[in-house]
Amino acid sequence: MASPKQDVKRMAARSDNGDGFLRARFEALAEERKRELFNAALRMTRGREDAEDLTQETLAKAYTAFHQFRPGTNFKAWIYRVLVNTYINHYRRKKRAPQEKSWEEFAVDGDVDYARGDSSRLSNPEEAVMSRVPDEEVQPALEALPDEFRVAVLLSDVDDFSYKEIADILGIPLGTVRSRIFRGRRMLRKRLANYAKARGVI
Amino acid sequence: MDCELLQDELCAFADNELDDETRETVAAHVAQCELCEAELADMRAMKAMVGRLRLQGVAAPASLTVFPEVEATPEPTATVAFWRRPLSGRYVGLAAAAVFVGLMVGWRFTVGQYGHHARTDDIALAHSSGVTQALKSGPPPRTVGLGDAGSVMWRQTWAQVGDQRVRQTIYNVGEHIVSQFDFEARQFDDSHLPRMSLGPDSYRVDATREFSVVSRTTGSTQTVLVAACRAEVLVGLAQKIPSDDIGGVGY
Repeated sequence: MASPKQDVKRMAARSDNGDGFLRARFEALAEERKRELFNAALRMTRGREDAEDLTQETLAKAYTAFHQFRPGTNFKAWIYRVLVNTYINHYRRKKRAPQEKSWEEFAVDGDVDYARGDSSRLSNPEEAVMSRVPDEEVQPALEALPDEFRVAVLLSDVDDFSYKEIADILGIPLGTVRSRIFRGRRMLRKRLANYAKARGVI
Repeated sequence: MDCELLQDELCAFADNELDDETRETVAAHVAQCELCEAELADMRAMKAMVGRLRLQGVAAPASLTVFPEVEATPEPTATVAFWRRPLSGRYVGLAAAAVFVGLMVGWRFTVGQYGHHARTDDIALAHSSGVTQALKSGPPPRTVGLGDAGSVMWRQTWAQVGDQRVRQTIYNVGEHIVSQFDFEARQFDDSHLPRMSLGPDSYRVDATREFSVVSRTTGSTQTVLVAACRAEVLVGLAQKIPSDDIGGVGY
């Protein structure tokens, strides 16, 4: 006979056959991720109200689709996928359109030959960027990046997802994840370097 | 090595996303190429800066809840049938679960089962007295009991409403989900029942017995015969629940 603890686990695992139990399981998992999701939404939308709407909508959609979630797999990545899709489908175009630059425009920015005299290169990056550009400048600099790059960078650097997880969340190949993060960081570097130069901090 | 080929590999290197072989190749190159060394340093600097956005994290607003709507009143079919067909094998298990849930968590226990004529009012009472709110706004959920008896599965949620403890028990009977709110305690004792030990922590009871259920709203009493019920009682689990845990929300 299994111990009570094992029993509870066994019964929890079995409890897929009624809404009450799916609901309970979802509630426990989602509650644990709520804060993270809200903060991720806040970074994406840049407005508390939008972030709250986006998170709420994400939770509702995730619950509706929860029967598709396979127990034991990565819930955080699963619900982030819902978050990102909801954001892209309902919030991005509407809320960010005014200041959004075209992908092409940025692709050109990002494609300068970094190794051969790129003007955005920082002579001593650790020293110059990390110690002299205030943290408050990072968010606005990220803001200006197209979503494709910005979201990939945020998922990697703030939410600690692996490339593989990001590929699953965004539904793109692994190689694309790598190049988006790379180009995203270079665009960011360029903007921060411009900031630093404008303020004469380097 | 051609630096051009290394561009996004430096990025992956900074993220520790390269396989061992590529990693070594990149490391060897970086060690003897100033430009790539600087690029790698930039990648790391950007990663660190973006990572610090985490420090600006805020609490989720209180208005943000996993289930924002007031809970829908659960499917009443099984409850009604429970009253009307007390000997039905299907619902016998439900009644058994109700009994042994109480034993299991070591609490004075109500069979606050509501008849079909009283049920709507009782659910309304539960809602109006803030149970639903308390269930939502309490501390994080905690498992205090989860089990089954035959085909019946159940979970429990406790909430403190004012100075009253309220328990919501949700049963899963086949495709039906039955929700029940209990406000009053009534002791059930299974000590006279034959039991089969299942180990140090649990035993099984097979019994035929009858018990009374009282509707809170109408005050009417019904006697229900529970035939051939079987329940596993997890003694160890009950002992692990300190009484002050009941103030919060669990299931």
